[in-house]
Amino acid sequence: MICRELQDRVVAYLDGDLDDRRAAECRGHLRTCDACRALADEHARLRDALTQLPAPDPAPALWGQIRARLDADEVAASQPSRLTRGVTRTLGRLGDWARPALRPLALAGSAAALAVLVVKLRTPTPHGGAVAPAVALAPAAGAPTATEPAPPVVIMRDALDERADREAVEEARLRQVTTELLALARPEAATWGAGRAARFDREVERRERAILAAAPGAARARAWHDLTAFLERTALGEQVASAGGGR
Amino acid sequence: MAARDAWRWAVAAACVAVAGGAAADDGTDRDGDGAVVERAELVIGPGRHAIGGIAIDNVLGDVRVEGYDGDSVQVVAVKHAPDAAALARLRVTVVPDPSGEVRLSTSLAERGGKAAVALATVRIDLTVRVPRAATVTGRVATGRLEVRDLDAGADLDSSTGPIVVRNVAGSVFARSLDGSQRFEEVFGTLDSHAIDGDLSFDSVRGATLTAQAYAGDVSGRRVGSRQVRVSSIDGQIDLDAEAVAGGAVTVTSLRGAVAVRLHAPGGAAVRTRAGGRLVMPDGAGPSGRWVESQFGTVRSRAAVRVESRFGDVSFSLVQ
Repeated sequence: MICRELQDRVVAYLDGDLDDRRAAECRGHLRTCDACRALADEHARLRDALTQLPAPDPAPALWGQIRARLDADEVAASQPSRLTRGVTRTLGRLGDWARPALRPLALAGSAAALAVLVVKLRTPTPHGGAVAPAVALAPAAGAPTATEPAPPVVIMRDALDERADREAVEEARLRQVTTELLALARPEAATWGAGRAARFDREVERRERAILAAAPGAARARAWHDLTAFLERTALGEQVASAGGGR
Repeated sequence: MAARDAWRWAVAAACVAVAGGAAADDGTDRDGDGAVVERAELVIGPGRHAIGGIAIDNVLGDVRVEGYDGDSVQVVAVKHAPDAAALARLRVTVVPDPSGEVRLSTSLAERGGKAAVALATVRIDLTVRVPRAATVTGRVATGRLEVRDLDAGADLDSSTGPIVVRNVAGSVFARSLDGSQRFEEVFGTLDSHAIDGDLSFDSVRGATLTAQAYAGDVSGRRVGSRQVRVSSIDGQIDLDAEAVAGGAVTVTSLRGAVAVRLHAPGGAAVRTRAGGRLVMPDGAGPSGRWVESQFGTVRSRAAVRVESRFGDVSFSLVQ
């Protein structure tokens, strides 16, 4: 199993949805891959945070509205209700990672409650955002009555948070690629003489230090590319570049 | 002193232009869905030194850079936001340096108690005309980064947005994570690296072409650089190249399939190897072993190496 496959399956793995063979493959990979283990830990923490949400308490009138709508839909017997479609659409928006975690809420008959759920995830951000992942649950202002449509789900994170998330995802991908490339390059380096192998190690270290020293943004991205490009060349058996090389 | 004053005038002109752009904001438009669009223009004239370089950092949208036969930098910034409050958070910063370097960057200000705004609903697109002889450094995140008609090369970075380079001379460097990279009519050293993005080249000539992709595919047409090095780890490589006399063409993949069509008027010494299926001009070759062939005069031969350690290789000569 390669890292990308693990990444695709990690949520299903944590939910116990994989068959034995695939689960064993994931376990095996996680034992040997630090980057994927970190990713799985992150998913697990997020999942735990979501599943620890208290079940929201919908207004009684709302349930009446839903039941009326469901009755009407049964009569119509043609399409799923708008509410159902809305919930489905909302779950779709929440993404694959969140859907399994929210399933217990949905099964608890809280589809209506989901319609008034405001989920706000905060992750560490370089611009001083909140630190720990936290999930805030807020009832919609003004409980809906039997005649009012349920308010739409609002999932609103600020653009700065979204951008920080994207940068974290991008850096995680670069970290993952680096791990994979090191796994490819190290056996190649092991076939070299001691001097050349030591030079390879020094070059990797130098580039890793450059990543740590670089400011977030273009400088860090370039440092990552410098390292991955170097490892690619090594994995392909090309001559190790001399110190000071790179883009 | 006179030169310093000249530069001051240039900066002042730029500031006036920015202010003018802001003043023209009554030109904000609301499109059909209530979003707000603001367009501002500014011109930065040369000071003591000609404008030799421009660095553009825009992680909020597209960047398009065009070289032209003038000596100033002309910027058109178009901001999009869902409402006026969000629009006010979108910033464009211009820092002209007396050395002749101009820095242009965009940012999204902190919320400061205002309502949150979704990233997908705000953007700043920049169109920048620069003197052809200026060196361009550009960075985008998810937007498109396009540079064209330049004579002094470019240094470009993108995360997931595409990079497009057309009609550029000089050294070009490009890096992207997931964004594709396309190069057309590049005359000079070209160094391109992508992790998951695809790389494509058409009409590239210069001292060296280095193209590295991790998982992305690489394709090339009319590639005629003296030293060509194209590689991938998982991606496929499809290359039409001309081997320059005395030059070198090295095409390597770890797991991807490799197809090379080579035009070598001066002859070539060719080494090929495939972990999978090997197809040579005279039929199939052995798997896992180097196959060597030579043609043309020794003096003008290009050194050609084509390999996929675990994938298929197809090599052919174009007369």
